[in-house]
Amino acid sequence: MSFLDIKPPRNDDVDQKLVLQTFELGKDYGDGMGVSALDLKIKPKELVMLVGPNGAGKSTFLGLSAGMLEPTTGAAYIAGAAAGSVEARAALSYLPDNPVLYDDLSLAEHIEYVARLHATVDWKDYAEDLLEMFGLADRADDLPSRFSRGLKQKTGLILGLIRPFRLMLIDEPFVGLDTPGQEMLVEVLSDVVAQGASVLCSTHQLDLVPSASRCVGLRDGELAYDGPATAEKIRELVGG
Amino acid sequence: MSIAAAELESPLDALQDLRRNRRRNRLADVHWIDALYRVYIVGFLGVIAVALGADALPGDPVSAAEAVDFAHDAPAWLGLAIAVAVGIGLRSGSRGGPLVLEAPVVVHELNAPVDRAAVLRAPAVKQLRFLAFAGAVVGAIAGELASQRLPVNAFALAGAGAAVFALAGLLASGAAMIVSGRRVRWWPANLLALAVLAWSGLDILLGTTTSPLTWLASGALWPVTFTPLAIAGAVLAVVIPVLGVLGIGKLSTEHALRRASLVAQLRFAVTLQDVRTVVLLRRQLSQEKPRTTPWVRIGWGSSTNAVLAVFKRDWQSYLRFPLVRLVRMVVLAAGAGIALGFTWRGTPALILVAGLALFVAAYDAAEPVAQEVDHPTRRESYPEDPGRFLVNHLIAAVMVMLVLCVITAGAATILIPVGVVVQLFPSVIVTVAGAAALAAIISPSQGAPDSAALVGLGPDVMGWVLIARVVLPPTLVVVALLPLLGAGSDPDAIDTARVANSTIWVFIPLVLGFIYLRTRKPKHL
Repeated sequence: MSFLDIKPPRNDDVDQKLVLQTFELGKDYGDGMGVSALDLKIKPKELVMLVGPNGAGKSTFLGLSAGMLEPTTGAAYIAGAAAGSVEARAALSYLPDNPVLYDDLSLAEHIEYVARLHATVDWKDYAEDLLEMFGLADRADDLPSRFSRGLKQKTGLILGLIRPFRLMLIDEPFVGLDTPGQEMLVEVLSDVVAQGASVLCSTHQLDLVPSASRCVGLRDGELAYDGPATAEKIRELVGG
Repeated sequence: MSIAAAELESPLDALQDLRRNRRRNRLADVHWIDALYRVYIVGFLGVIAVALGADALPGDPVSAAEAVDFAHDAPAWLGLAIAVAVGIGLRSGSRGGPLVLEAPVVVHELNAPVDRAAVLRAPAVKQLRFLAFAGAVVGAIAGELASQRLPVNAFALAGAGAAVFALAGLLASGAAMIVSGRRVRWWPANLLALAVLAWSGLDILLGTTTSPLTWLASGALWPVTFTPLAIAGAVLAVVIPVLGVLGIGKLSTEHALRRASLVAQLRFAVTLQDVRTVVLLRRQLSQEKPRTTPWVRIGWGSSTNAVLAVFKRDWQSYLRFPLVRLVRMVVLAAGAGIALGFTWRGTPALILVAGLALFVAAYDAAEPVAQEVDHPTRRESYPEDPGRFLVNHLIAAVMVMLVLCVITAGAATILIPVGVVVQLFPSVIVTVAGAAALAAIISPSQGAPDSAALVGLGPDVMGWVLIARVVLPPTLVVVALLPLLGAGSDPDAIDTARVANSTIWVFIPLVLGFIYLRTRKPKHL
């Protein structure tokens, strides 16, 4: 056991062309394995559905890939850079399952802040488009911390989209959205991929299947499936 | 829509702008009447604390020679107190402390392609500034109180106290930042904390001044006697936080996110003065979990007696206590003994510290019953009168407190002659152990404050009721210790009869507490 908890990044075999590459990525919470030695590769312009029953390790895997959680084994690389590094953060848009918002910033202030933190160029027109698209144009000066669950989810999506990225990691983005919102999200994610980025989305939303290029199934923290996304396969993976 | 035009496109400029915006929005939300009311409340409580403290301390000034003796002995004890603060800081650092960031700061700012050190520097400095200020206030009050006995200028003593306590706050927080910034694991951090404590402990036992924390502490008594080593201690207390801030950029986001979530809940529970929730969240924060395997496994029994069932369930809980909780209980009991030692040596106000330490130790002994109170519907489902059910838990809790009281008595012998302790111990052990167990069970059995019912009482009465809920249980323990004040300070003429007679009066609040507990009903959710 090392004195310090910092593990040296593993740079061998990292493919710079892949937007996500994990090597035996694992997380042990102490009272049970969260994720066990996962190897996964995601290429540019892929929309990958991450599915599995509750407790399968989906959120843990996304957190590890985003560099928010520290792996107990292995490593993750975003666009060739170690997860959590400045380069990886610049290439990644991570949306956790519960939108995390400032209590004291308006929606417009949130957008401006996130865009500028990521050095986004010409973000203002795009921000107005996103607000229009998500039906929040007239709420821009309101505090999103006081929004309903669905509106908070839309705010989180806008913040995830306002900045440049090569890979978007999204955890259960359909939860809380109304039917038009869900349909629009499917459309938005397809557009993201069409524009050259990749998406790894933890969801069981079957509406996304036609747009998905791949499906990755987890069970008990281990890779249970990696192949084409079909409604039958997803039902089988979720049903356990 | 009012998205401001961004002239500056550097992410760090965005960070500065965000903080300005947030400050402006927060200030816009605070009404000046509210702000003045907060200042009034803090000032009011501060004045009460100083007045009570000043009254509790003996007024007789000591001679110049006695003051020099005091200045020789006291730094080691104060150094130990600083060591405790540093130890807590080191432990906290290994779990990502002391910084408490908001969740959005972790998710948006630490995840942005910006140097994390730049993001974290401001909150780190803000935290150091706050701790230095809080330390200075406490140190100034302590210095002012001490000046009533020491033949030196009150301003000089208050100033020295303020400086040393402020530096102690910086040191403890800085040490935590170094540990969290370097992501030091829990075990080397704990080992280091133990080493720091042991070093200060050795200074007390051997009468030496070898620990840098003893050096720093000696600065508080500069107006009595000048010790150049205090400068070295002060330098260390400045260097450590600087190193902490410089290395804070490598803070673990995982720890930061976990702390952000728990501390937000913790603050909410504190505002509600919900002690039980505060305790539970603090345990989560320090990742204090029950042992998967008990220290000793108790097999299945065949008795259907409810009292025995509760007694066994209580011990099954104790036997799953993690080591850190057991150590904390022992340390608190020993701390109570030390405080009683100083009480006997002429600082009666420290009996409050002893009472509080025993209450906190007993709070852990009341853990099994607290878990019953956490789930009122389950508790009500047992075929047992709810009040009797609570009382049944007292047996095991009193047993635990009897053991802890023995440790308290043992620790007291460091400062009190063994003969004195042996004479006084039998008179008070049962009432003190009983009061501590009773108080600790009463505290959670009150349940969370019923805000709806309290609002009807009006804001002023509601405030006092909330305070009484928190203060009364530990007061019961202090009351049980009060007879010790009648023992006298002459080791050859200890008034055991007076102590024993006074102890009889303690039974009145104990019986009242027992009746309260026996008649408690679970609150339906």
